[in-house]
Parts: sequence; structure tokens; C-alpha cells
Amino acid sequence: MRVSRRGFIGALGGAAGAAALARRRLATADVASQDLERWATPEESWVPSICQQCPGGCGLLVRTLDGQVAGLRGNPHHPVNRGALCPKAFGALQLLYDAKRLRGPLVRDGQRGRFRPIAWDEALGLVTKRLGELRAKGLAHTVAILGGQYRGSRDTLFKRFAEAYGTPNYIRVRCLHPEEPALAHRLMQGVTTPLGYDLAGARCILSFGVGLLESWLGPVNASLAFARLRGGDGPRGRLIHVDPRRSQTAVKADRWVPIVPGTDGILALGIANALIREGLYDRDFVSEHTFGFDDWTDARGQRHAGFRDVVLGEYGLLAVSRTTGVPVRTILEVARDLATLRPAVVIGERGPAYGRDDVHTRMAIHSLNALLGSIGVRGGLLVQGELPLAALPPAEQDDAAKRGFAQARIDGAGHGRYLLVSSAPQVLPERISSGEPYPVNALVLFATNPLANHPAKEEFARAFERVPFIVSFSPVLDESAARADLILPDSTFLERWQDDHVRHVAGFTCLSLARPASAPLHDTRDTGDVVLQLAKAVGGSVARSLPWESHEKVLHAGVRGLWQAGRGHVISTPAEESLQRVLERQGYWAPQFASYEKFWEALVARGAWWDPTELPVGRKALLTTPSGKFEFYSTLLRQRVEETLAREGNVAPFVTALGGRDRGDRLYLPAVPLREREEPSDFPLRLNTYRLVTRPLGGGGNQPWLLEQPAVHVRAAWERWVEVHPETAARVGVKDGEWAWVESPKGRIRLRAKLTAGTHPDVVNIPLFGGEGPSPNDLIANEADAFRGFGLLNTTRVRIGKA
Amino acid sequence: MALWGMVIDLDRCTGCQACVMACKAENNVPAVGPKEAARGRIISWMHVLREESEERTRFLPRPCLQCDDPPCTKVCPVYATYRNPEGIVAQIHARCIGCRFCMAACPYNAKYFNWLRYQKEGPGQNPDVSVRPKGVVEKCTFCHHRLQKARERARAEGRDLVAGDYVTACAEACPTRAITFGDLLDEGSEVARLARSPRAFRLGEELGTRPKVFYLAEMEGHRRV
Repeated sequence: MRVSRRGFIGALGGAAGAAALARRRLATADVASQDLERWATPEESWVPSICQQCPGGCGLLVRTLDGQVAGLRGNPHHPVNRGALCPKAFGALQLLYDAKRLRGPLVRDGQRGRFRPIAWDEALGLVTKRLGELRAKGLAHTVAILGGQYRGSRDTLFKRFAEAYGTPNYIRVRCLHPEEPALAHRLMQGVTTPLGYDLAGARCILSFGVGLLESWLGPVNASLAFARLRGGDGPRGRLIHVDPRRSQTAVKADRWVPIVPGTDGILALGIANALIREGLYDRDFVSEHTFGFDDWTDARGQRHAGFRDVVLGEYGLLAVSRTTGVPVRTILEVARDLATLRPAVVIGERGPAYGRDDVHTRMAIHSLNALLGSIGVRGGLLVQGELPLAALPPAEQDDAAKRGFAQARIDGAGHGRYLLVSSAPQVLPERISSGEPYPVNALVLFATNPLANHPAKEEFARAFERVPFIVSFSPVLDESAARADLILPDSTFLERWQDDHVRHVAGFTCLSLARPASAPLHDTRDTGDVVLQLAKAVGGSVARSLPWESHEKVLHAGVRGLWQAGRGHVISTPAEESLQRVLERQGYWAPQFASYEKFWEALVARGAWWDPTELPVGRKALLTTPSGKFEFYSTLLRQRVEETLAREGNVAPFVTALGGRDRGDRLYLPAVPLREREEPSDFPLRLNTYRLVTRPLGGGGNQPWLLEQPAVHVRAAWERWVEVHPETAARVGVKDGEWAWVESPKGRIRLRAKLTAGTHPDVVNIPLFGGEGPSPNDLIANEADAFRGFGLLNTTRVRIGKA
Repeated sequence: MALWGMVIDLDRCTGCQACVMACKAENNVPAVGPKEAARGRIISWMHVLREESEERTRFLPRPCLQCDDPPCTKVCPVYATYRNPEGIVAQIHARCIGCRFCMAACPYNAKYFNWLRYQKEGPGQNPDVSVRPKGVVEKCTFCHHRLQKARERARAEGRDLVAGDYVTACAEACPTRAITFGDLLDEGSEVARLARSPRAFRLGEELGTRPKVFYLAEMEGHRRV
């Protein structure tokens, strides 16, 4: 058959046309049905939830349309944020719908880094088998659980699991511990629960490098307080910010005090000197409620120097000014501001360490609060009540669990050098790699990514090679999960039951509770549920210690205590709340709900319970030291040292970390050694790291909105940068926006230089970028910090050069 | 008839960008990606500007200023952008031909062009706001869809619209309560009170555009170092 050109094209066209027609008809039908679906008004509901992008715990209202999340806003009745939000909250939408989320559990396929999908039952079987074997061999303690930044019932579940299973190694990888009392508060006031800073009530706030408006314990609550400081009702308050970098908080402060990094404690003592010298301190408080201000004689007749003499003798304004780089006049003016604008509060409890003298720095800063009498008063530091959650039955430990649990912790927290910390993650990689005191046979990773977001990331990577079995609960394939043997993806916080206990906000206790706003989008499970399922599968006393069917049931059991407590209420509209408040002031408290089920329903529907009437219970409750007073001279710290000496026979590593024996009484007083300024070396600049307001927990690599507009103070989009002083940049020939190498003894990274005058010329600033890409963690030496249990983030020396 | 306006207190604004992200989530504004961002094509209806001088830095959130005498509407050849009776400067995407005259006319750079199809229909979007195709101009609408919904709700409840029924997403999110939104003609409203404050000023007042977004200047005691 001869086929002409025209005939061929005609035939081809006909066939294609017919196919197109058929497709079109189908497509039309499809579109019509979709249209019907689209035009049907979806059912809208607003589900209360809790933002988990930082430790702030803001209340959310999630908009769902036919069960699908389609937006969010702040919960207007939530006491923490009152409807306001920060930029991170909106990233939650992109976190939820991230296309790179894991679709289901994965198991290692051959070598590490390669995976194949696996069913949940089979995956859980693998973990149970491994955990069972280790326990049977008496190696329960060689299982280590690494947890990141989270609070509430998930912490309870992991803690309980570790206890019942028999491992002391539940280690938290984070530098901020919002549910524990701050170190200085513990040592100087003896408190065992966190104290709240009453920012909203203060007229003068002095912050030592605390990113109030950017990071810290939650920027939204602090921003609301800042708004009150800026007037409206009362007179305008004053915010003073001490920071080497001109941060957003510094820009908004009434006064920014630039300082040589790491000398914050010395400045605090300089301010103390000015307060004492000028007689501006609160004499009543100091004479009635403090110990160790004046010289004193102990029971053995030995004389000890008091805080006053030490401060007046050693921290003269000129010496302080020389070390800190803060003019004498500024120190005096700050002291006068603090003394005249009452109530004033001084904040020094930030996450990262201040430097090598961290504990004394924190004590020095906190001693200002005592000098100002700002303890136990409105606008100062207030006690935070315990949430009246129902106590769960004690965990049951069989012999294997008891044996394992009694072993020393692998990170050495609570012993030796790390006497004062609850977790020392930076020691962990070294211990795992060396197999001392024992090898780690299984590692569980939950909500943490140490292979990218920890200064010891290289050591962690090497340590991971030594661990035969790693389980990760990461919802995405991050750097750490990629080296795991098994990934059991967690649901994101909009898809699971969730609670949060905000313990650091002054004036009220609060529990937030959230039901899933949407069903899990993928084959993921709430890690709370998975822990319970594992416990059940391990069986025996472990199963009996965690008898609940689901995470929801755990919450249900705990929350019953709130209902039984006979105080506080489920959040509601302002009108209703003020009525309750009026009644309570007159001594009435009426239960609003007939039964616990009704209470639970209301709590789930509204999102939080709070007790606003739990106001300060007097100064005595805040001063639970042996002397019953605020202790400038920390007898608690001395007791700890003496106890440890009696128990362990050697306390030298800890005392060395504190500054050594030769300092005598100075060890227990807020006395920061005045160090000489370091001479410029090969690495003449100092690296200062900070956290951006747009950086969520985990790094936010999957949240494009936040990556595209990460900051206002520099021009940057989808990039990482280093902030350099123009003088320094001119010296090395780097122009604004050019590539620069930043090099430390550990390594070097290439970043865009952004010239900002708002910093010391010998300091370069890099935000703590998370996840993949160059970050300060490539530069920071894993310097052991004995008091935070985390790496030192601001002491590294660097140099820069043109790239 | 209302005249919707906004007051932004610069003394309170901390430059946190909560308003920016709230706007993006509310109005389905996509991230354009690193390549397009490097070409200066980021779309940010609400944009926080930084003003830096020797002695101070300040942050200035800039939505569409909703001029009462808008220069952009006068140049639109197809009547795609216009001032509606309540003072909101609207943009009809379906009518826009992408000539960008309005962008050239706007003295505040408040209008953005879709150089590519940045956004696909996807989960998590707000169905009340249409997704923009390639080749059209878009801008802040004072969350106009919220007004429509608030009005419907008020009608269903058989009452008039009251203050607080209609608030933009940025004002709702602001953690320092720097943004106040409301009816400028309602004498008793917070926004009208603040707009009369001695601290109030408008951007480019000399241009005669009469913006309905007012700024409150920072107070003294701010710039000592």
C-alpha cells in the first residue's frame, strides 16, 4: 500500500483528534464533578491548637474546611498570646503541607542512608525485638533517648518509658529548659519550680543579651508586655538592652548598651556597685530578706566577705568600664534608671551560655533583682504555681529496670563537672565514640537533629557510626534521620493530640490542650501513641507502667486533676472571665461543669485551662534557701559541692569549672573574674550567634515564607549571611553583599557579608541557621560548658576574608 | 458608609514580620523561590521597610496605603483597579492585562507583578481569596474578603456591622498591637482617635494621595545610646 504524505498526516490527525475528543469528554465530566465539590460550601470549623514552633506555646485557632487545614490565627482567649502571633506560627501551614514529609515508616536498606518503606507493625516489631533483646541481656541502660525542645505529656511519656524500661539516659538536646527553674534562681533562692518574670507589670526592664522580642521563651508574650511598656494606659516604661549586637530588641529598646561579648556579669556587678555606692538599692529588702550582703561570720568563727565589700572593692566602675567597654556614665545612668523606675526587673536567663563564667554571670545578673527588691512583687519575679495535674501511678520497675536505671548516665549529668545540669548533650558524642563508661547499643531520636543543629555535629556524626541501632521519629528526612536504621515519622503538631505547659509566664498557671486539627495527611503516627504501643509490645512491667491506649487517654487522665483542683477555669470570653474574676476575689469559686466529661469537652473545644488568681504567695515562698533568705552567698552551691565531695570523694572537676579552689568564697558569690582582654591572635574576631525571630525549632528548612523573608535588619532572601562591621569589612576588602569566608580553628564557611554598623568592630554575627547549609555550627568548637549542658555559642574566635 | 483605614504605631513595631506572614497565609501569597527573589520579585503585600539613619533605626510596615486619591486607578486602561465606595482600592485580577502602569504610578511600591505563575492551587490555601495567574498585578486589599464575610454574618444575625467585626489579618496577628484597623468615619473608633493623634503622619503627604494608612511617630527617649 502506498501512503501519500497527505494521507498519512490526515490519518494521524484523525486518530489524534478522536483520542483528544474522548479525553476531553472524560475531562469535562471530571471537571463538572470537581466543580460540584468545589461549589458546595465546605464546613468550616476553628479548632484550637498550640503552636510548637518555639517554646512559647501560643494558642492557635486552626481553620479547617471539611477537616482540611486552611489557615490559622491566634486564639484570642488564650492567656499566653491573646490572639497575637509571631511570624513562625504561620510557617506551621507549610510545615504541615511540606511535600518532602515522609509518607510512612522507612527502614534501612543495606548501608546507612538508603531506605525502603516498611509497614508500621513490622517497624514496631523491629524496635520491640531490639529493645527486648537488650533488656534481656541486662543492657537496658545502653539505650539512649535524645529529645529536643518539647514539654508536657510527651516529655512525661518518654521519661516514664525510660524509667520503666531501665535506662537513665533520657537526654535533652537544647540549651533552654523552660520547665526547670533557672540556675541562678535555684542557687540563690532555692526554688524548685520556674519563676516568671512579670514583664507586663514592670516599668523598667534591663535585659542582658536576652532576645526578648525575637526568641527567648516566646516572643509573643514578651512583645505584648513590650507594647504595655510603650504606653497606652500608664506612663511610658523603659527597656534597656545589653547586647554586643544591635538586635531588633536593641533597636526597639530605649537604650542599647553595646558590650564586649561575655562580660555581661561584670557589667551587672558594675551596676551593683553604682547602686550600692549611691545608696539606690532597696535597703529594706536587703536587710530583711537577704543573706551574705554584709560580711558575716560562720558557726566555726570564720569570717567571710560580703557581697557589698566584694563589689565595692573589686568592681570599681573604671575597671568594669575597661573590661566591658561600657562607659562609666552609662553604667551610672542605667543604675539610676533601675532605681527610679519601679518596679524594675533584670533578665539574664537566656538559653545560650554567657561564656566561661556562666554560672557566676547569671548569679551576678540575678543579684541586681535582689538589690532592687524585685523578688515576689508585681513587675518583678513571681513564683509559678505547679499545674494541679492528676499524679499518674508510679512507674513500675522490675529487676532489669532497677539495675539499668541505677547505672551512671552516659553524659555524666549530675556528676563531676556536670553536677548542676540535667542533661549534658555536648559530652555525649565523645562518650559514645569512646565507649566509656559503656557503649550505646540503641539510640532514639525525637524532635532533635544533632547532626545539623548542634555545635558538635561532626562528633555526633562519628558517634552515630558506633551505634548499631538508631531509631528516629523525625517527620522529614533530616540529616540525623538519614543516618538512622529506622524512621517512625511523627505527625506534625496540627495532626496530633498535643499539650503544653507554659511555666515561665508570670502571674498565672496555664495548660494548653489541642486535639488534632486534621487527620494525619500521611501514614504517620503521633509519637506519644507509638511510645505506648512500644511499651505494650515490650510487655511486663514496662507495659504496666504505661497502660494507656493512646496519647489522648494519657492527657485525659492527667487533666482530671485540673477539674478536681477546684480552682481556675477553662478559658472563655472576656466578659465571662471577668465575672468569674469578680466572684473569685470575693472568695467564691463555682464549678462550671457538671462532670469531668463536660469539663474535658469544653477544654478541647476552647484550648486551654488557666488559673489567673494564683498570684504571688509572699516573698517567703520564693526564698526557700537554708537561711530562708535570698543568698548572695549561695550556701546551696556550697552544700552541693560538700555533699558531692562526701559522696564521690572528688569534686575537683566541678570546682575547676567554677573557677578553682583558689577563689575561696568567691566560688559561691556572684563574683565574675575580671579577665584581661585577649590579645588579637590569628583569629582576631569574635563570633556572636543569635536566633532570628523567623527561625522555628528544627530549622524551618521546609517553610518557604520564612526562608524568603528571614529578617528585616539585613536584606536577605533564601540565603545565609554574616554581619560584619563596615570597618572590619574594609580592612579585609569585603563589600556589602559579597561572599566572605568565615574561618575558625575548626573550619570555614562561605557566607554573604552584610555590613551592619550595629555591632562591635571586632565581633561578627551569624544567626543560628538550622538544617542543611553553612551554619555557625561549622565554626563553633564543641567547648564543654559545665552549667548549661550545651555548647558555648558565643566564645569562638574567627577571622574573615574575601571569598 | 464606612471609610476603612489603618493606624500603625511605629513606636511599637518591632519589625518581627508577623503581619507579613499573616498576610501571606490569609491571601494565598506564595513564596517565589530563590531565583525569582534574587531578581527582586518577592511578593509581599505587607512589607516591613527599614529606615536607617545615623542615630536610629526604625521599622515601617507598609501595606497598600489605600490612598483616598489613588494615582494607580487613574492610569489603569481597563478599570482593573479602582477605588470602591468604602475607600478600599480594589484590584480585579481577571480584568488586569498586566500593563503595569499602576505599578509605575504607585509612589509606595505597593503593587506586585506576577512574572510567572508562582502559585498553583494547593492544600492549605484560603478559598476566599483567588489564586493569581501569571501576568497580573496584585496588591493588599485590606482583606476585603473578610469585610464581605463579616457583613454576611452581621446580616444573618440581623444586626449592623460593629467595630471589631472586620479586622485585617495583619492587625489581628500583630504581637505588639501596633496595627489598629477600623472605620475612620466612626468618630468614636480607636482608629479615628489615633489618626487624629499629634504623632500621626502619612507617607508622602505632599503627593496629595491622601493615604488611609496613618503612622504614629516614635516617641522621645528613644535614641540615646
